[in-house]
Amino acid sequence: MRRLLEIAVGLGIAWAAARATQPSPPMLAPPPGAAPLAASAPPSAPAGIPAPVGVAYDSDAAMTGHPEAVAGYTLRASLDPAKHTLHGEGRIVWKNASRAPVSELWVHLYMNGFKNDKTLFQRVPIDGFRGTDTPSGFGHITVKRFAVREMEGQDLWPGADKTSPGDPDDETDIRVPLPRAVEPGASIIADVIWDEQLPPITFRTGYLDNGFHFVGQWFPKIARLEPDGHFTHFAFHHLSEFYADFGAYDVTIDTPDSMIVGATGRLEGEVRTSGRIERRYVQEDVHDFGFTAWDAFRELTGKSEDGKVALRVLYPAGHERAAAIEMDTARFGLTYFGKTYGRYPYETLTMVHPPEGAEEAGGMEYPTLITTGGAWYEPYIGARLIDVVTIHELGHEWFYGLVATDEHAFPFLDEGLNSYAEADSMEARFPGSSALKSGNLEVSLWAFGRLGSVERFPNAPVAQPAPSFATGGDYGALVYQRTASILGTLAGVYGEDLVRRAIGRYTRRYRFEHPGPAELIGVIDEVVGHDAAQNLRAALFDRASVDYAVSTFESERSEAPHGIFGDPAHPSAAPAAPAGPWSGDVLLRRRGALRFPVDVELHEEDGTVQRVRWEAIEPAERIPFTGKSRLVAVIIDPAHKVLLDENLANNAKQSGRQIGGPLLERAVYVGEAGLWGLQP
Amino acid sequence: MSQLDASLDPPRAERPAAFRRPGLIAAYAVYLLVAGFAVAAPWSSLLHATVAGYPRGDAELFDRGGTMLIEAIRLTRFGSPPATTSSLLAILFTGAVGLLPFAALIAGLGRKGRVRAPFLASRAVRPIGTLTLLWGLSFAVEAIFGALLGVLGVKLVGALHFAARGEALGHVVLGAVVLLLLLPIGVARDLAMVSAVNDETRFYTSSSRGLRVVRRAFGRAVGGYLVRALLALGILLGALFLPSLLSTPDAPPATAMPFALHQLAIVLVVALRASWLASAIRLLDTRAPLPTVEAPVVFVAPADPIAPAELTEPVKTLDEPEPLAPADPIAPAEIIEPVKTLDEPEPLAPADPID
Repeated sequence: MRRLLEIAVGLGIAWAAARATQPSPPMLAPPPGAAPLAASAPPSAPAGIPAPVGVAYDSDAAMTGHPEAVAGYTLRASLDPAKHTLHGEGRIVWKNASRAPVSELWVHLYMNGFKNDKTLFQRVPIDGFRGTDTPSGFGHITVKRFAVREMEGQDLWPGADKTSPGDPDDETDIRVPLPRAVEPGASIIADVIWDEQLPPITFRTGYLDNGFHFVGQWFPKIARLEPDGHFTHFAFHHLSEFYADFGAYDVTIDTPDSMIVGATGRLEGEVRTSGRIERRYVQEDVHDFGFTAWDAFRELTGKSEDGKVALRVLYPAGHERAAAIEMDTARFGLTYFGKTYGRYPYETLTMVHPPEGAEEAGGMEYPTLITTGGAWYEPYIGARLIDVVTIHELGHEWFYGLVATDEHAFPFLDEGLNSYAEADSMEARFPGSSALKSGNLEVSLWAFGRLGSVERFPNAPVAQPAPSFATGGDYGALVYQRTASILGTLAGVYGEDLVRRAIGRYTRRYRFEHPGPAELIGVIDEVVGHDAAQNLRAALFDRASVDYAVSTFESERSEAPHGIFGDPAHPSAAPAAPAGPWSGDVLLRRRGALRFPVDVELHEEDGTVQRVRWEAIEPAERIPFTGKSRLVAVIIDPAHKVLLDENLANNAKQSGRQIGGPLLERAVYVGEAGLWGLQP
Repeated sequence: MSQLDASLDPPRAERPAAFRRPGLIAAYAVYLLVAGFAVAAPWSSLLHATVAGYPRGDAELFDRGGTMLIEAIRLTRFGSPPATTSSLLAILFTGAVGLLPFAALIAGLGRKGRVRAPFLASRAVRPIGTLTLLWGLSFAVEAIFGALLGVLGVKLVGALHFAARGEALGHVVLGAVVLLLLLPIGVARDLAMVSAVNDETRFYTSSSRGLRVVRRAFGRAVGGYLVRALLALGILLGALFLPSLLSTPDAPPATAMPFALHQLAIVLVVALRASWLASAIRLLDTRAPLPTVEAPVVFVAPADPIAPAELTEPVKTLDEPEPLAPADPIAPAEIIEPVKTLDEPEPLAPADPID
């Protein structure tokens, strides 16, 4: 009895200790009480068919050299790094590039998204996406003057709306009525003065107590004017912020002279005066401007492979290896993207690796300025996160920067296409191990991208406005991963080069323009084919999916058919037996609305493998089999080209079962080693 | 001491050593193989289900690109909680059952010459209660102590405001320090288990002796344990990566060669453990001898008169006592201090000497 008691007590204690060390399962469902979604238009597939682009855009020769300059900013920003405040002033030159007179301006004051916890930016839960729900401080912008010279220099700001339309708690999307309309083709010059308080690093922008500052969405910015004369304007939302007209930026940044600055554009000059330094950055043909300032930056400089782009990495001490990776990645990316999507037209590229604690400032894109990220140890364990973040943000120089799509209405056009470009380029550089290479374990970005893609596709269409996504997790999985998986599937099925050429034709043709989904689908139709375009449209707008499955298969020795053939009174000879000694059939199924032709492997008992093409037009089809030996296994899409396939486990079937294998062997060894550690 | 023991009890080893017990080491390794299978089976069969239809089976999971590996992980998310629970139960069960071969290993190491299965079985089964209690309690103490040290250490590292790399290194150092601080608990547990098996002591005496050795011979005990543990860890990690180093990059994942390498590694680490246990036996004998042991094995005819013996000091015989001829009369002992018997001896029948 005593022995039993001892055993029971000993086991009980061990179990309790083991349970205590077991992690709780991850929460899959969103928390209750989520805020309602922002109102947004339902998604709709583009109706119009754009004009054919043509093969001319398969090379850079036909590319537009410069955009129409619509909004130009000449600004001066004085940063007080102790108070984390910024005083700005300057002028905005704005042209009515539409076909209609314009009697109001819409100005984005996105720094006010950080003003209090009732703004749209703060109200909408992050819920599975980057950032924190509860910032540790607030930031804001106050416009002191907005005077239009052509309107008698009148300060129009007192007459501007105080809040965003329909949202009294938000002050990020402001309407400024004009005393008189600006005619098509006419320009105005607005003199602006403003003050702002930066928040602690929140999501993208702000400061860290160690003196690091990243300054984005920091100046009064005029919303994008569409050709029909209406503005596309929207309040600052944590899932979308970018859509603007092109122009030239000439920005002078005034900081204490100890600060090292990185900014959009090329450095045109420096002026030092009494402990401060003014640096002037100029960049034409862009639609945004960001900068960073910190006195502890280390700096790594270099040149692109063609020698035309000056590269600069700003990073904190201890991240030397990360900086070197970022430099190498940028060199590779500029060449690869330049060749695929059209040359990089600027002279500089600055990369910022934020210090620890400012991770939320990482992984962002601004023209000629990107922020990266990743822990120092990742390269040592084989994770390629630093490479991936760098190439992703660099890709935005094309998908957002040069092809300036509306991130609010169709975020997949920049984040999604860029995620495809990221995976495609990383696979070109590290085939099969673009995400991870640790020992013999090699994982590609396509494999990771499939995860969210197949898990979340029923939740919402990919092609919908950013605020319509119920959660940040849905947004991330559908906009980034699903879009990349869709294009990756098109590449796998119809040809990688063909899809690359199509996207390249799209980026060259619409360089410095603002295309929508119709233009993308049109180019895919033109280059890859009508079936591919149909699949793309359905996958983007209709939540269309596909799941291939081997239903059954059988084979038996071929024999001549039995029975009476022809006239029973005068039967004819039986038809010949099937060609091979073994014959049978395979029942294949395709579930879902997407239709991709796939390869099917038929494995015979003697090791022979036959490969046949299944067009998968019908949802179920029997494939005949004849062979030298028994059919023992069938695999649909053995190379896993259809990344959208919902379930890869049912793609194969075999007779008999295997016992053991490398997985079990490794698992047993790990089990033995673990028990050795726990044992007596 | 039972009648069976008496009939099979080989003499105590004067200098226990692992190399004298290759059979027991191999047997323990076989037990680990079986136990490892029990622990691994729930998860590996769950993952295998994703690729069960593929002719290459598990090999699909190791393909470059990891498509099927990630798919298997995705598809097992609903099965993972029960599989994890099953594996945890298997760890608990095999851990507890593993006390039997572990005790048999100790018993074998502590004896000289050939040992027979009935003796090992007897020595393994009898202290199982004490062993289980020692195992469970030490596990819990390690978990609680480790968690407390970990929490305090993380706070301390955080308060030092290291840079990213410094903080990571700080956590690595913290982990090593916590493991080092927990080490004496494991050492004391092993010593206590050796005492329970080899000297048939109960929980309290076993624990006291284990702690006494750790206190009196800290360097030798903990150092001996640590050196072997580090060596074993190196062997296990080396064997984990060796198959991939030996294979060509595009070769399909093999099973036979890694299995052989892995099991060789397991045999080696079991041998190192046995070496430590042999050392533990010696440490207990020299640094924490029992104040008295149960009366020397006495081969007497029940009817023979026993002459009283006069003992001026407590008996401290730990090595093999000279067996007395059954016919020799033994004088009755006069015990000045009460003898601390740890297990009531039963009257024994004369037995054949065993080798």
